[in-house]
Amino acid sequence: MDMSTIYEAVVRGDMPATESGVKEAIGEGTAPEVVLNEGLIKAMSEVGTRFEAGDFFVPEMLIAARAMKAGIAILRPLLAEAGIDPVGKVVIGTVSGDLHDIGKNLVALMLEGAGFEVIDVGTDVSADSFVEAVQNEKPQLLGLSALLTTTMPGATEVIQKLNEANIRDSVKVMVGGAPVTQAYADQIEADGYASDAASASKMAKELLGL
Amino acid sequence: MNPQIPEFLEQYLKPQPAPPGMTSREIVRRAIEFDRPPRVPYSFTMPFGSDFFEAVVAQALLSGSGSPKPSGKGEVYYDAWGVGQKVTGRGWDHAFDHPLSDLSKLDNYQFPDLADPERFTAYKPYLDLANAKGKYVIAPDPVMMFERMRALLGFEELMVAPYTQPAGLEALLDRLADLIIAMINEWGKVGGVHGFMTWDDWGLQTSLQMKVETFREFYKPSYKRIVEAAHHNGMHYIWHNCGQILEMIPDMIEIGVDVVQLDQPRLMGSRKLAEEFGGRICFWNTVDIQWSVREERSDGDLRAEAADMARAFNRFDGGFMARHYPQPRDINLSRERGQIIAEAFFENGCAL
Repeated sequence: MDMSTIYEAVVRGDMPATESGVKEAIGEGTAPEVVLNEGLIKAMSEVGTRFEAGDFFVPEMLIAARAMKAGIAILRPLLAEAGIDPVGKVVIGTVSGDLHDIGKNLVALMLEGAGFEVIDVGTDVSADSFVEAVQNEKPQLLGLSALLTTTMPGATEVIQKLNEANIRDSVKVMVGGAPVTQAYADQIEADGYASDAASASKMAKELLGL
Repeated sequence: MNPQIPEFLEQYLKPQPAPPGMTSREIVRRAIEFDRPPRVPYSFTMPFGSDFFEAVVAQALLSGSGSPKPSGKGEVYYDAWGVGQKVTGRGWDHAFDHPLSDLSKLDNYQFPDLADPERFTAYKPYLDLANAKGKYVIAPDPVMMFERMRALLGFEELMVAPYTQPAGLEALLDRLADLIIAMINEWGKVGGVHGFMTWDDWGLQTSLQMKVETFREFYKPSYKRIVEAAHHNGMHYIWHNCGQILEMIPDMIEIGVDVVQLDQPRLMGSRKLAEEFGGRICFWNTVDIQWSVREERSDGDLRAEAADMARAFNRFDGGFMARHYPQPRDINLSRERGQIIAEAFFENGCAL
């Protein structure tokens, strides 16, 4: 099985072809990490590139991510068996007072597609709950989303609470959402800002030196 | 009529300055139809005045309208469409349970009877009052096709439906358009309505949510039918559309949309919008709601922005109307800033 078959299936969002390609590759003895890296992750990287270029939009990203997830579901037990860990762990959520989840969900999909383990703590998450999630999950990255100008201060509060809990240095903090800007990220001393799901995936890798 | 209403309406329907023999309604019509209005029409939050009567206000006042719902933040309820909603405490709630994520269920799905004639006749006293005061009357679209589909299917299923359930998507669009057209016809029968307004957001911060080709293939034909129904009933079609929608404005113009109402014009730039589309569609804009509420904006920034917008748009013998965001508390826009914006627009075309 040529990995390009799986790669193409994911890019065009063909879930059945992705599943059958992954099964066939594993059946032929291809190492699961090769299928993951050369088939699924490489394909989602291409999806992100096309999204940034304006060739793909949200529907194409979502349908590719569905295909990717179907492939990962097959690989997951094999990867665990082989002792292969995700490239990093991310806790992600929408800040207090904000129930919007679309942007956050897209970022989570792209992070999964880049090989991260994603712990999605949901929407309208209090600063204390974010701190608790960081203490319990010990992620390398924390993603904070805010769609509303009125809820952006929630990200500031999370960073303050991380400082108060003396765990700020244990985790890189990324922020994003419609009204959020690089200037705002700098102002609240976040480590990274991303304007969309594709650049969030790149920024996550950059922050972790991957 | 509810006894509290006259006092409330008195302020809302207060006449706005107009030349002798002319009404607010005529000024708005002239702006929309590029027919040399004597000033820029406006809809500012009270007490700053409005040329419009947006019947959505009456909807809130009509006793027994709408289904009862809990008011506590975080509480859940199911609306008339069978969509599970969580109360946000703002002007909108958050859909969490979607009855048509699988569109094969469409054949057995019961649509709410929104085109029941009784719903419309209840508005008549308010429409008559607004007409007597010379206002331009706008009937709301309570369906909001794209937004409704997001609630019915969920965002993710709606986005992928052109790939996964194309026939079901087309069938749902047909049925929703039929329902909206039936409602427009009912407004037409009641009379005294000059514009039909929908709130359907298609933009993200930097682009449309989907390829414009997908919009054209699946959605545009239904919108076209709805716009034609509005025109057939003597109404303008007004479309609130948030986000960066530059790529679809030509399609909106092509199907006959009369007014595009933008709350985030800075995402595209007023000058660019005016250069590309000025004279072909009327813009009804707020000072950008993401930009204007930021702490760092000075009073001078707000005044300059309103002046720039008026300069950019108000040079096509019409085609521009000014607006306040109607729920300032939802975006934390202070009364002081609202006043500055209104004053700036009055200094730049809204006064006679």
